[in-house]
Amino acid sequence: MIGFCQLVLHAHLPFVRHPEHPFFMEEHWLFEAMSETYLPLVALGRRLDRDGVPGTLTVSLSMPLVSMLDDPLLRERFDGYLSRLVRLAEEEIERTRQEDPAFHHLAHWYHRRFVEQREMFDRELGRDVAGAFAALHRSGRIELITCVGTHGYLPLMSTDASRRGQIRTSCEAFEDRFGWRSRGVWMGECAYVPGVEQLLADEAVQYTFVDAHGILTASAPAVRGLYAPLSAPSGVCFFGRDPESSEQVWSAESGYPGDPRYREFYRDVGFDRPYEAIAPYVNPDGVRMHTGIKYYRVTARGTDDKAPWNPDWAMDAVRSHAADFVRRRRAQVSAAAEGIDLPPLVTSPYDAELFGHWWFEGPAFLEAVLREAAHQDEVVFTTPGRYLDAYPRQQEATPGSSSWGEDGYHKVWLDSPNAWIRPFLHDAECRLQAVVRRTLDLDDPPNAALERALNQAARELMLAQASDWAFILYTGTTMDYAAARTRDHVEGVHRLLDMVDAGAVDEDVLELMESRSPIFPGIRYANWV
Amino acid sequence: MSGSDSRRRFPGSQTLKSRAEGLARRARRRLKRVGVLVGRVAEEAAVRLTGTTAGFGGGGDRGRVDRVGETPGEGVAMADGEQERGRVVPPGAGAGTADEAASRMVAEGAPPSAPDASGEARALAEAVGVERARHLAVQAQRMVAEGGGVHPEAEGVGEAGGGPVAEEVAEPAFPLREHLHTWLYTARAPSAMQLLPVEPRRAWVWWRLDEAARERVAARPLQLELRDGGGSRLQLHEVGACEGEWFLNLSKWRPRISARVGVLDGSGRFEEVLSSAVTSLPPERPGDADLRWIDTVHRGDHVRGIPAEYAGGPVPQVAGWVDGVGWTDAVGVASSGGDAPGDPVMDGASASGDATSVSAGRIQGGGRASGRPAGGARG
Repeated sequence: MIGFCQLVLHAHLPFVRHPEHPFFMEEHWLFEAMSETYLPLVALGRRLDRDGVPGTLTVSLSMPLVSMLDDPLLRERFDGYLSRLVRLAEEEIERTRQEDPAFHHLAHWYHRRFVEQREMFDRELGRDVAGAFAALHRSGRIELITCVGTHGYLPLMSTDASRRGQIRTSCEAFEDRFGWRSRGVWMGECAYVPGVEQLLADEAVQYTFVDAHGILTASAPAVRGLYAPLSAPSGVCFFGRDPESSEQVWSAESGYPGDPRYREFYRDVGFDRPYEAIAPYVNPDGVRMHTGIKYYRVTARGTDDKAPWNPDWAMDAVRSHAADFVRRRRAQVSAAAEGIDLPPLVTSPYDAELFGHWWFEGPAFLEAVLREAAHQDEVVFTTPGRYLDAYPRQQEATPGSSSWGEDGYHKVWLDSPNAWIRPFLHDAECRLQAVVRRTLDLDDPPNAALERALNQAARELMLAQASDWAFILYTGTTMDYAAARTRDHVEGVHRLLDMVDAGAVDEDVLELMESRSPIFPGIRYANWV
Repeated sequence: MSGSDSRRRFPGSQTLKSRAEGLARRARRRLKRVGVLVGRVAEEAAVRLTGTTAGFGGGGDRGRVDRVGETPGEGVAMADGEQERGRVVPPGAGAGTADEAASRMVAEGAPPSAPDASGEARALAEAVGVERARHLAVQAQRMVAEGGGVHPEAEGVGEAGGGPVAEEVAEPAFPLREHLHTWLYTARAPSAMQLLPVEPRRAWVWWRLDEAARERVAARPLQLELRDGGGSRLQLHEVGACEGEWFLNLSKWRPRISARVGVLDGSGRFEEVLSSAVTSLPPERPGDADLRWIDTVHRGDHVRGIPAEYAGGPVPQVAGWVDGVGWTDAVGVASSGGDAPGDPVMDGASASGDATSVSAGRIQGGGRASGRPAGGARG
């Protein structure tokens, strides 16, 4: 063995759940990710376990995502989503038989896939996808960790109380849900600011991740570069993202997903078919959307003249790219090993949803990487926990403030399109902290209703702080929804704190708000001091 | 940084095509409403993305909601001591074709002709790619909005998802805007000021004065002062309003900054009304991070990295590494500081040295660096 590589998949979606609407388009963020990413990841883990293939992955599940995966309503809706896809595939089989024979076999392929997924979700997993990840953790296939709260953007919060509330609440919720303490915590957007390391240490967190320049601008030169973590004085270790392996997967120019044999993301029957033909499978208000049935491959950059997707060709590309990925890691650690005193470690973190949703063949690629790696012994695919067990003593230094967003700092989450949300958030943070402190100073604890109101205020604040809203506002995608969510939750904080200030809780309103956001059931307002 | 990071997070269930359609639809609507040709930039950029302007449902016009604060993003302070107010200049303005085009339209107060705008949008899309073009479209929309239209944030409030609302979970009748406005911007809300880092040379500040503070200000124009970690003034802007937000750009990196608002007395002295906490800016290059620990160099501190031409002699304005501390650029005027590399700095002065022969050392002058590991080899 010369060195290590750790593949880290960060899975997160903002908490979106709208029981008040029979069909809600943004809930499909979850359904698409379940079908294209989470279920395939679970399936590949189970296959690797079955075949006894060595190698592990690290998976971070944010608690908003876990809450949605556990939610009975969303589970039921996902089941309906899969059933609709099965019906659509059946219609496509019939249609393509005469009308589009070039795609007929693909229509069958999708039909099989959706039927198998429904079988897996309903029967094999008992609809418990988060539990399936936990089982893979117990088998040693993955190291399952959590993420900061609602994916709050730590550097832009106005108080340490807010940061602590986010971190502590998610660590407690993870332990409540899975039965063990998360050894690592993914910081939303890999966003770090000095001081957070102590808050993480307070929750017994052993490691987290930052982008490369966080390590390179640390308080002392990183003598092992990015090939080993830095240990902050608090004891928390920071693994730095390796740019080379990131580029291979992320880059739109040179990354694997741009291979002409891979499935094209943007060509979907939800957009390609006449509206009346796909109306039952898209938004009832007439908005077209992805269905998951896509017949074309990338073909060539910048052309709309796409060729049919061929799953066999795509799998050829997967095997070729997996071999290339492993070969490059071997070369990388071999070169690095000459300059440092520990076996080099390459840390490759990605958004989990890249694999499967954006890059359809991504899960197959991950599986192929681990199978390919099993044929060599120079690079061991490990996890942060296992690495730190073997090499607990690391260089002491504190990373520089950074994120993995565009340009490496905070502008994606604080710029012209989204700066307006900060005063709202800061006000809510400061007010909550003041009310909590005042409450804790009282001789008598608050009554049950007041306590619930305080807990719900903390919950609303966490939901408002999700970095997703600022991200969406910056990128200009579903801006209306992001703005409304921010305002609704901030408003919720003030409304609840008004009740607390008045000493009178409107329990109808409180109950309504609790029912709309069934997340962090064990939240404790006292974390916000 | 991977450029494709911008693909992160699900951009809705919409494709780029749908999003572009949405942008185009909104741009057209605004174009009609405010008659500002800059809207064409948004539309053309969006059209360019997919070649389609087909309708896209959802959204819809809503009543205008005033932007928070009296000076909404009213300007972007430029390099130290300079500023450009009353104009909306997108981040990075002047740095490239896209931003130049967009900012010029607004800054000059006279949007270019539609054909020009269209051409520039197309050129942009071709030159910088879809993601950047889309960003421009967003920026342009915002400019349109602030030129008299509906701000993007104001759209769609309360309409999320649309569709029927089941009775048992009906939306509570929260007076959303009024409630927030009441809390944030009336006497009930306390004074507050936040200064946040955005990038190594960029920060954002917002402030709000309570009633008592407003009375204290009286009719005098409010000033916003940006200071370095040692308290020296870097920028001074007349901001006028008792609440607002600004982006502040620095001409060079500073380890720590703070801000305050106040008024100038008759003699020009700054009378503070409200101040922010001292904030660290992200390190710009290796070694910068340490500077957060110290603002001034003290006797006994070791300095290195002094430009070679100053070796052995007086240094008019030292810039260099401070072992265990990092890069500093305002040590002062050299006196009879140490003659050899790594010599300690003298009181109130700097040091001489040789950038090519730095030595490891450790901070001796106290400061919050105490107790941290020795600086070790650097560079």
